[in-house]
Amino acid sequence: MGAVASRMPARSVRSARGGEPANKKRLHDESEHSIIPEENSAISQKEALRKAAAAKVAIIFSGSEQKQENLEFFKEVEKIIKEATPLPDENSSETSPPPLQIEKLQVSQSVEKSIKIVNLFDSFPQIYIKGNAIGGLNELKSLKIEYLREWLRPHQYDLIVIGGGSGGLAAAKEAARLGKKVACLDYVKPSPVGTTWGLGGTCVNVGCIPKKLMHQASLLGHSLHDAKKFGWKLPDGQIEHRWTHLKDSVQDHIASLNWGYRVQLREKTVTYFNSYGEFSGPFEISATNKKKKVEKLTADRFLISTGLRPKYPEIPGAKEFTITSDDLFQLPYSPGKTLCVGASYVSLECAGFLHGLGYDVTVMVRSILLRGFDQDMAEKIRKHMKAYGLKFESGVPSKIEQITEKTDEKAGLYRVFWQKKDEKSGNLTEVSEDYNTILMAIGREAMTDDMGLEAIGVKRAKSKKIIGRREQSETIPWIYAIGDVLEGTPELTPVAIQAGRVLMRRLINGTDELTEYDQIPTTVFTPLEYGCCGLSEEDAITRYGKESIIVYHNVFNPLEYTIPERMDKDHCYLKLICLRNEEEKVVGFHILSPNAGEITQGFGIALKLSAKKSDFDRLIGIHPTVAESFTTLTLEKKDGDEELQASGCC
Amino acid sequence: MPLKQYTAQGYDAFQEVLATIGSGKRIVALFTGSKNLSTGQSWCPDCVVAEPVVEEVIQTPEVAALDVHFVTVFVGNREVWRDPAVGFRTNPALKLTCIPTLLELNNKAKRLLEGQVANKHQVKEFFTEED
Repeated sequence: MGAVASRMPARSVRSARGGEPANKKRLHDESEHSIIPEENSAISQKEALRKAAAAKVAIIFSGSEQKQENLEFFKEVEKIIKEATPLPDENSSETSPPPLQIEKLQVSQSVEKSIKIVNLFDSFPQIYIKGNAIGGLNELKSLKIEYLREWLRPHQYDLIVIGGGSGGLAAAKEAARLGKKVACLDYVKPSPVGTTWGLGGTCVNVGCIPKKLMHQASLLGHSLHDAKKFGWKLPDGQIEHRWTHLKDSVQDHIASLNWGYRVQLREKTVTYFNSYGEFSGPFEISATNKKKKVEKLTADRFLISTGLRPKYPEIPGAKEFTITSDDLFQLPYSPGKTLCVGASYVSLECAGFLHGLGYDVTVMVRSILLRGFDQDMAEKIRKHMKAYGLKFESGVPSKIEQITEKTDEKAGLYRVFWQKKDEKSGNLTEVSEDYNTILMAIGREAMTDDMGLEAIGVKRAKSKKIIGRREQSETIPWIYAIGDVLEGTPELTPVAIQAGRVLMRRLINGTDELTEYDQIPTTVFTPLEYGCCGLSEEDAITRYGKESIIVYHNVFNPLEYTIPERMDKDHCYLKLICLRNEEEKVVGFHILSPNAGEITQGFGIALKLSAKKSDFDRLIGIHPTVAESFTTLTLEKKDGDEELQASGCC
Repeated sequence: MPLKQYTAQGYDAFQEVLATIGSGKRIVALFTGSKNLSTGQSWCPDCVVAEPVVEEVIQTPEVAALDVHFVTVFVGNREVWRDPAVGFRTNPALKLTCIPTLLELNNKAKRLLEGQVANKHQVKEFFTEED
C-alpha cells in the first residue's frame, strides 16, 4: 500500500543474506575472522564501521594494505585531503598544521559486500569524512574543494536538525543521547488562514493526534446511542455535540505535548530554536526567528525533517475561502455543512468524524478513493461511508465564492462550483452548492524551495522532496533527510521516528542497522477503520501474476454490533493475500472493522516473520473477537463471486 | 518592571495574593510543602531540593529583571495536601497532582513537576523563554 521506497532494498541487511529473516545471526559475526591469509589483519565489520564513524577521514578497504590498487587509492585520497586541509591563519605565528591522519581500515571480502549494502555504494575502497560515507574516488573528486576544505574545519554543532516533528525530534534526542552537540530548529509558517502551532510537527499538532481524538469523539457519539440498546437509561432529549468543547480539549492536550517536547529537549541538552532555517553556506544555517532576528549556526552534519504542508488548487477563492487540516483542529466555530475536497485518507478521515459529530458532510472525489491503497478495500470504504450517511460527489471545484463572511464565532457561507457529469447524456454542466466550511485535502507537498538547497546542490525530486541514498542526500553527503520530506518512503510518523533513531546510531556509533521501509502496517481511521500490512491485491498481482496469488477472505459481524443493530456490521471484511508457489506465504493483510489499528499492529509481526497461511490456520482464535476470523479463513476469492454474507460464529 | 516576590500560606491566602496582583499580569507560582514550625524543615523531600534551585534562579540578573509576579505557595502539611478536596487539586486553573510544581497561571500546559523543578536549566528557561 501507499508509497514504497524505490531506492530502499526491500530487506534489511540482516535478512538479505540467505533470505532467512528468522536467522538471528548478525550479517557479519564480530568474532568471525576470515580464513584467507591476506585477510589476517582484517578487522570485524563492527569495528570498521565504528572506527570510520569516529575518524576525521577514513578509508575502508579489502585485500592487502600493500596491494598496488589500494596503495594508489590511498595516495590519491591523501593528495586531495592535503590540498583541502585548512591553511593556517595568516596572522598566526603557527607553522603548517600536522597533516591529517587518514584512518585505514582493512576488512574481509564478505564484510566488503555487506558494507556496500549498508552504504549503497558499489565501489570499494570507500571513503568516510567525519563519519559520513561518501563513496569512492569519483565521489571525492566531485566534491568542490572549497566545500571539502570547509567540511574539515570545526563547527559549532555536531548536528543541526531542521524540523522539530516526529522524525526530527527523535533523531535530535538520539544524537544527544549518543553524546553529540545538537541543535534543533522548528518553525511553523502560518497557514493562509493564519493558523500556527507549537513544537512537535504535523502528527502532534495537525495530524495523527487531533485526528484520532476527534475520531474517538465521533465514535463515542455512536456508543451513546448503542448504550440505550444495552439497557442504559439516558436522559431525555437530543444527544448534541459541542464543537468548541471538543476543540478546546484537543488543543489542551496538544499544548501539553508541545510543552513536553520543550522540556525533553532541554533535559537531553538539545538546543532548541523556534526559527526558520535556510542554508546560507554548505555548512551554515541562517536561522530567523519570529522577530526577524537572524542567527548563523554551523554544523558538521545536517538533518532535514521539514515534512509537508497541504496543497491548494489553483482556482479562484481557494486560499481565501477554504481551510485545510492545518486549520480544522483549531477551528474556533462549529464547521457546519462541510465539503471535503479530496479522496485520500486525510479527506475521508475528516469527513468521517465530522459526519459522526452530526454535520452534513459531502466528499468531492476527482477519480478514485485512497490512491495507492487496495482499491477493493477502498470501494468497501466508500460503500460503508455512503450507507453511514455521507454524500459523495464526483468532480473538481472550479471556483469558490463567498456568500457570507465568517467571523470568530460563526462559519461563513461559500458557493462551490464544479462541472457535473449527467448520468445519462454524459454532458457536463456547471453546478454549485453552498457550504459553511470547505476542507481542501487534495494532497501534501514538501516546502523545500526557500531553504537554500538548490544553491548548495541538494538534489530534489519533482515533488520537491529530497532524493536520498537511504537517508543520505544523493548529492551532498553531509546532509540527510528523514520523514515525509524524504522521497520514496511512506509518509508515516513511526517510519520517521524509526528512521531518525536508526540513522543516528548508524552514523554516530557505526552500527549496520537499517530502517526497513517495507511491510509497514498502517490504518486509515475512517468511521469503519481499515488496517493493512504488506501488498494490495493490485500490487501483488503486478508483482507475482494473477495465477500466483490466492486470496482468502470473509465477512463478519462484530458481536458488539448485533444488539444495537448497527449498520456497520454488514460492512466488516477481511482478507489475506498469499503466494501459491511459496507455501501460501502471506504478502498482504487487510481488514475493515472496528479497532482495525490495534488488530493490524499485532498481525504485522506475522508478516515480518514471513508467516504462511498455514501459520494463521494453526493459530487458535480468541473468542469472541473480530480478529479471530483470521484464524479460520477458508473461502477463496474468485472472480464472479457474489457478495459474501456474514454468518454466525461457527 | 522587575520580578516581584510574594508568599502565601495555604489556598485562601494564595487567592488573596492573586487578587492583589490583579489581572493581565504574568504570574508564576511555586507550590511547595509547608515548613514545620519548630524544625523549619518541609515535610516534602523533593521540595527541600527544589526550593533553593528556584531561589537561585530568581536571583540571577536575567530573571530578576523580568516583568513577572512570582508567588511561593506553601500548600500546608501532609494531611491538608493529601485531601482530594483541597482547592489546589480541584481548582481547574491549578489541578495540582504533586509538589513541588512550578507553573505559569493562564498557561495550562506550562508546568514543571517534582524532579524537573530541581533542574536549574529547566527552571531558568521556564522564566526566560519567550513563546
